[in-house]
Amino acid sequence: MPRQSRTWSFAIWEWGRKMNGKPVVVMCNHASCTGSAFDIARLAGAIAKSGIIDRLVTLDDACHASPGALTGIRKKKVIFAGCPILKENGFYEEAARRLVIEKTDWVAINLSTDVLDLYEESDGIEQRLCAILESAGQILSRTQPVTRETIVASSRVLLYGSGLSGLSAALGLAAEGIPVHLIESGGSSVSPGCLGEILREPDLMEGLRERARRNDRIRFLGSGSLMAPIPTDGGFNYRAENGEVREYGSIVFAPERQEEPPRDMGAFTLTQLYAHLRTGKTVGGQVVFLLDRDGETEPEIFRDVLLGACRLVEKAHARVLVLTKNARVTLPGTQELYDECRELGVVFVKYRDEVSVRSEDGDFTIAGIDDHTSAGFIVEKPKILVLPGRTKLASKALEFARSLGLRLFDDHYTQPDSLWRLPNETNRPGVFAAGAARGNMAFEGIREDVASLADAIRQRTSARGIRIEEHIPVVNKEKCAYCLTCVRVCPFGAMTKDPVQRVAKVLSSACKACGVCAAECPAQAIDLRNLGSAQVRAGIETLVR
Amino acid sequence: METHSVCVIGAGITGMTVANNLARAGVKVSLVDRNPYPGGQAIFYGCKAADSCVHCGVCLVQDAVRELRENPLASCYFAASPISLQRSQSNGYRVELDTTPNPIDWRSCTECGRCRTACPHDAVQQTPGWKYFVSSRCTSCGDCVGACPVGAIRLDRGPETLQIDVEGIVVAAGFHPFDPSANRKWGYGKSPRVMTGSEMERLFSAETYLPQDSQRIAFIQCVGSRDMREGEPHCSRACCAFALRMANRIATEFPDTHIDVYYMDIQHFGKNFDVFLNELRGKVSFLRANPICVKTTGTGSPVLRYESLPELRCEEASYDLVVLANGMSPSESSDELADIFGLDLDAQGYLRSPMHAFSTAPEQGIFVAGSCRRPMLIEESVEDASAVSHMVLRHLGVGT
Repeated sequence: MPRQSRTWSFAIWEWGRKMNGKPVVVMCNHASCTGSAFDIARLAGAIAKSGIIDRLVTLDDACHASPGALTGIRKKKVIFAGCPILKENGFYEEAARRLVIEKTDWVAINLSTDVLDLYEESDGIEQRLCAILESAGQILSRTQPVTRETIVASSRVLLYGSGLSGLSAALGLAAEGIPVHLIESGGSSVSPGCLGEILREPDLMEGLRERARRNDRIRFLGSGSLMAPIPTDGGFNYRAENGEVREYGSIVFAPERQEEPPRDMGAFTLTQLYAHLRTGKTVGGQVVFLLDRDGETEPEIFRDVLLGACRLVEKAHARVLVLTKNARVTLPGTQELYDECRELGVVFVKYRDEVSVRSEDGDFTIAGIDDHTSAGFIVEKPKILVLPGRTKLASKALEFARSLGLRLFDDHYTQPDSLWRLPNETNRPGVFAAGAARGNMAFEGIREDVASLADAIRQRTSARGIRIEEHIPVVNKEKCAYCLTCVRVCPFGAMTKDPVQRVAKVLSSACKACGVCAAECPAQAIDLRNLGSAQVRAGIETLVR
Repeated sequence: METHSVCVIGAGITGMTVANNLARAGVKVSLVDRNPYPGGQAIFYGCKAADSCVHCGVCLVQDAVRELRENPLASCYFAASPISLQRSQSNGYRVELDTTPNPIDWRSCTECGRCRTACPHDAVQQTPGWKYFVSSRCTSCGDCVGACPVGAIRLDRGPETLQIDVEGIVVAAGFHPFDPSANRKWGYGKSPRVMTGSEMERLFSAETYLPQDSQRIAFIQCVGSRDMREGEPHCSRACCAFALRMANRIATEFPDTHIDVYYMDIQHFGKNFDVFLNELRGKVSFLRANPICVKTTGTGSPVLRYESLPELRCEEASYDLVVLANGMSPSESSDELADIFGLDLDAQGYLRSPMHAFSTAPEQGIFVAGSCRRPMLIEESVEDASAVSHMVLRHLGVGT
């Protein structure tokens, strides 16, 4: 990242010198991630400190950025215009209207991490500069924006996932009167985080499934065909197993998470332990939970451990030892559960640094240092060793997510950080993540998540006919060489091919009018609102002069 | 089209998010807050990013304030509090508000700042993202009235009682930071070098946030949470999050400072916590110890006496700055609000929420949201707010 930022600072610095003190608007794509805001702010800081540019506006308020980068630039030089977290597609349009069109002597740069990433590999600052100028020109020329209406095709929702999260979401949406078609994901039906719930209520899953089957708004589509949903102008087309093609307004991605198997053979995962507990067999020996070994245990998992420990002592006649670095008691009710466990005789040892696990003929020996007493401890031959693993999405769910064009973080999260936990949005408009797809969640969390999911879907479908004023890329069919460069470079997956006419095609529902396709097209076949590259450049030059 | 209206009590991050969400769906909102400005507790918090964003969520609050400013459907009653509630005829409610309108009318204020310059008592203040307001320091001298070019200031507005008719109510009264001054052992209030996490938060929004000569800093976790003697048995959830992020920023920007974190258990907050904690372990030392008391020496620098666990001995360490990572307590007005709106309190004094996503929608139309329900992080409050706004819309029958 640092190298990239430096190059970009330089590029803008050079350009800024040419601008000769004109106010500059830096626009960045809030929706892409907080990382972009950070980069933009660093750039903004560099530019403002150089003293070349008189004023600079970022539409992101850059709060995510380093205070160091911002020191001294908050004073007048940089105006943090700020945008609320934008849920509507009209982000750039509104921004442009407010800042560029109203103050026509301003210049705008449109940056987003996606665009930055694309140019990282290419050579030559010149090229990059041209790209910025082009983007700037596009926004600048928006004095007569094109208006189009996007009608969300259908209120119908296509939902992926038939586990606890999926069924909860389906029932929640159906209760709002939204028709839901459900693709069954198979695999484990309950994610870690909700395992304890199943002990409390063994028939929970069957009950939910039964309710979903009886609900006439919910339809099961089977385990899904290999065909990925195809984005259309007002939503998505999906071909079900039986060959029927239907149009959907939005897609909800709600698969379950699975626990990774432990690296020590013979140890139990939490899921396996719970499967064992459900059989009702007694253990009659010592059960050791070893937490915080591969990464920090999340509070949801810790709660499952506590519920399991209680059950082991009460019903399975086991002695329970929990080895952990920290007791994670932030979830409501966990503190009581923790106290209850200790009263029942569950022993908690908080260890320091690392513990060693040795395995001989299926018997484990665990050794470590107690953080309270600094004394060493050794646990020999526990009957069961439980090693809760990291949770991941099943490979089938991953495949589905990739086919939707979802950007996955850490390969298993649909959202990059917890600030994204606010809305159920993903990087693709119209695709929402729900339940365990967003991270480990307790049942309580899943139920609350359903309400905010319903809110997100309502916002999408009730805004029938969203008016979007923007520049849609126009593909010149004569010039298009069908090389599909635009399909490869589009950061939003908004370019597809039209195999019949053999030309590139714009999916206006996904297009964010960033202009990358127009800048990259080798045949110069793509223009934005019929403005050619030459015209854009001429516009900028006039402005610079 | 028929316009619905809802009253939101509390203009913190939760209240503002509910108001903004409802307004987007075309519902009129009356936003009521005790303070003369929106933003609640979190508006004074500062960004904790060091060399990269640590996802503290403080910027979300400022975003919400900005959206509120542009929100045409929100009417703000600041420096106001509800006093009674009655059922109105049309199956709604009539809320009676006790309000002291601020001398500066925020809708007409242009933020030119002349009133601030003119005020001899420094009574005109501004919070991030919001316009000017007059604080309690005002002596009604009238200098500002003449200075205002748009005539937005009127000093003759006295307290008044208002009645608003609404169809639903959202209580988002927020929390109250735990006050350690009640217990003398924390040595809070005796020296400016012992401060609470919430005070530190306020400093963080300034450019130079660290008091001079702060070479050795101690963070004490779980002050007023998970402590039976203080009557707060629960984990406050937010204090590990803010204290460790602060420690991280200080340690990154001033690598020479020595930072000790005294803790019981470090709590997990948000994604990427693993990476964050691992990096922090290299910059800050973590001590699992039981703090006994904080004393102040003659020079004003605090000395922490703690029980060192391996030997169970009493040890002392001297610091230049002690930060008490204080937990969250229920808002002081919880009792009163519970009374007015007929809500239940739990054992700790948090408001019980009558609703759940799955249970049948509450017929009464009174909802509880955010950190007056249980301790929440900023992002959780926002999420809770969007869930609640959905329940409200369902209650009103909008958008379905």
